[in-house]
Amino acid sequence: MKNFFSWASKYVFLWIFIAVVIFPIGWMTLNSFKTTREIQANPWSLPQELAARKAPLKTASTQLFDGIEALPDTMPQSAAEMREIAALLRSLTLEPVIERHGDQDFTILEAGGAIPTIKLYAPELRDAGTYVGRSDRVALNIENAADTLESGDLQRANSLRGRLDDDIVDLKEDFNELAGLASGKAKQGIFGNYAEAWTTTKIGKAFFNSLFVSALTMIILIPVAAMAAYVLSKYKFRGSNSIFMLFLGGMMFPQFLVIVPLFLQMAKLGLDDNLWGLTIVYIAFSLPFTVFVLTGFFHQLPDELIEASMLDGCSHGRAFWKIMLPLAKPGLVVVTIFDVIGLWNEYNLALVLIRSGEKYTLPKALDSLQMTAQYLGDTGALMAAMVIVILPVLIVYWLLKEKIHEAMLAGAVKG
Amino acid sequence: MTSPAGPDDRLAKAPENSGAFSKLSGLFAWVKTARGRFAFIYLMPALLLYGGFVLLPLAQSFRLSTYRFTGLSDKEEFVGLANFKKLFSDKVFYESLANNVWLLIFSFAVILFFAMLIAHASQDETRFGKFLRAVYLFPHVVSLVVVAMLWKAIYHPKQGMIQPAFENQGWTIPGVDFKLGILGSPDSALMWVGFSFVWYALGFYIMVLAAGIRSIPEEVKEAAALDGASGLFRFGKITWPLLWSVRRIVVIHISIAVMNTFALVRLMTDGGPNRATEVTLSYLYKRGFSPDSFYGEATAIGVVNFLVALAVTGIVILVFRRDPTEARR
Repeated sequence: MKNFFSWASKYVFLWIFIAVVIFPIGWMTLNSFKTTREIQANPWSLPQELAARKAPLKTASTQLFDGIEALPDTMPQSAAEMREIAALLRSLTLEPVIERHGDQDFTILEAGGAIPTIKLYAPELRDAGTYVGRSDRVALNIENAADTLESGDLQRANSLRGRLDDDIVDLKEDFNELAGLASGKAKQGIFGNYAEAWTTTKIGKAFFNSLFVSALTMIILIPVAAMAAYVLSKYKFRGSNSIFMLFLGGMMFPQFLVIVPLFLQMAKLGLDDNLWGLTIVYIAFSLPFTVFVLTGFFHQLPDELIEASMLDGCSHGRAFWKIMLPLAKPGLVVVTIFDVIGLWNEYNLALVLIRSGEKYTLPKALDSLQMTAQYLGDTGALMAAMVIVILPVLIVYWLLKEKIHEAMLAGAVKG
Repeated sequence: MTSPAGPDDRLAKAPENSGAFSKLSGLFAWVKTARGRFAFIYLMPALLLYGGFVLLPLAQSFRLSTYRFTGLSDKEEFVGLANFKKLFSDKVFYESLANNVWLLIFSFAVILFFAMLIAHASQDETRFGKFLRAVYLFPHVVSLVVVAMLWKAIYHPKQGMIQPAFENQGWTIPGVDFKLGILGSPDSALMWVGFSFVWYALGFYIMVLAAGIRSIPEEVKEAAALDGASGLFRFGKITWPLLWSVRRIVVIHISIAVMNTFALVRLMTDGGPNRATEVTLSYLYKRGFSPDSFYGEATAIGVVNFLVALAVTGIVILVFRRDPTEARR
């Protein structure tokens, strides 16, 4: 009985632990298929609205968009007609939602009924105290213009009218964009958030940037590190140990110690905000670990192999490329996996060295997406972007978990 | 035969203890041999990259920390230790350092306790054991950016996993003001950040400790089992003391990882609310990369952060210096 009790308590404990590890990731994946409204209503519900969105848009928001669409592009001449338009605009009132993010309140204009949810971030209204919707504001301006017209100040009324034309066009463009966004999402159905994260938020572009930087880094890093590791393990000379220790030291100090001077140096070289520059930095920062692990692997290979190959007429270089490097393949695989995961997830250096949006790597793109998604209130797309970032890593991890364990242990015990 | 030196020369080892290599002429002589040339050429790319983009900025950072240098002008002005003096009269810096230390203690306690427990419990080579091993490293391969954003979403006041559920039930969490949100409560925000760090890091330490437990000689465990030692007793008398060296590795690793905390804090709270979660590196980033960049001061923060990490590591090595399994004299 006592045995059973200890057995049961052990497994209950371990299963709770497994749940704590897996639940957040599963929850994120679940929510990436839901609209923000659904997530807010119940963070644990199954996705429904996005799945239901295959149907064409026939909702309150369609009415809103149609109403905006029906507005004339140019202001009519008579004050009465103007008042009509103002009244139409007022009938399309948006329902305000006030959200709290951190320390700040954001007023968010919510458009539409159950499907689809569209929110406008209204920063200019944040401090206003009272809520005035954007279309309301335009309506107010139109009424002002009508008043001015009626008061007989024709010159002023004309200039106001000109500005109102622009206002209306702006309003239409904004809403058309939102309508396009919504119908784009709707066409994608359950994967709407993913489609949006991939295209509108430029996660797709960042995905290929990350792929480019990781691949280029590995293509240069592996030969360079293997050459150095080979020399350090097989060609002992005075000082070779100190060089090895120099590389080892690189694993110890925090990246942030060098981040400011590195940033200034890259700026001086004109390599900041540049994916090639980032690649060079990544190679340099990946060298310590890679050289360390590969040196260990080359150590295990017998010296006699080199000597035999040289007696057969191989040069030093040929012995390395043709004999030793293929034999170190298990080591190369281990460091490649480990380095690629590290590069894919790298954030600190990319944050400092990359500024322009089209050069973002995935972690940096997520960082900036978090800011904008917060304003747009589009939690679903944010979750989808996060899943896009971690999915490749999790697949690689699941396929190669034994090798990754090996690599991590090799890295851990060095201290 | 491509090389004029011939095969014998290529096989010849570099003469050791000749003393010539300490001199530049010796280096030249060595590089002239085929062997030396090969070693030199193959080592160079790595050394150049590493030296140029890691060691050079590293040296620069110690230099820069004694200069007044802002992003506004290119002028660098030597100010000695003024940056450090300013730092040590800066209340915010002390707060951030204190937060780091708090996180250190929290992580030591929570990670060591749970990692030990789970590593101890996950020893059997059953399918469940393998599954468990695959699962616990999951968070560690996830980008810290995603970890931070995921936990921020979990703590979210309205769309989160925790607060809506608690509010529905009418429960409260001590130290958390639901009006401010979980991450908005100054009293406990740091702990919630710390918890997400533990979620991310725990698996790694379980792995290291489990490897350590596996390396304990089988005879020792069997002998204890034969003597009828209970699980807890075995843990206290065998596993715990025999793991002292692994534990040292773990503690050193945790110290380094915690002193490196940046992405979590920046993305979850950005130091808020009211600087309750500011850590040294997030403060560094704010000083160095805000519109008016104080590069010199930011570097000084980096140096102090590094020295503190070094000191913590030193203390850990001192505490764990003696092998407790050796006979006590």
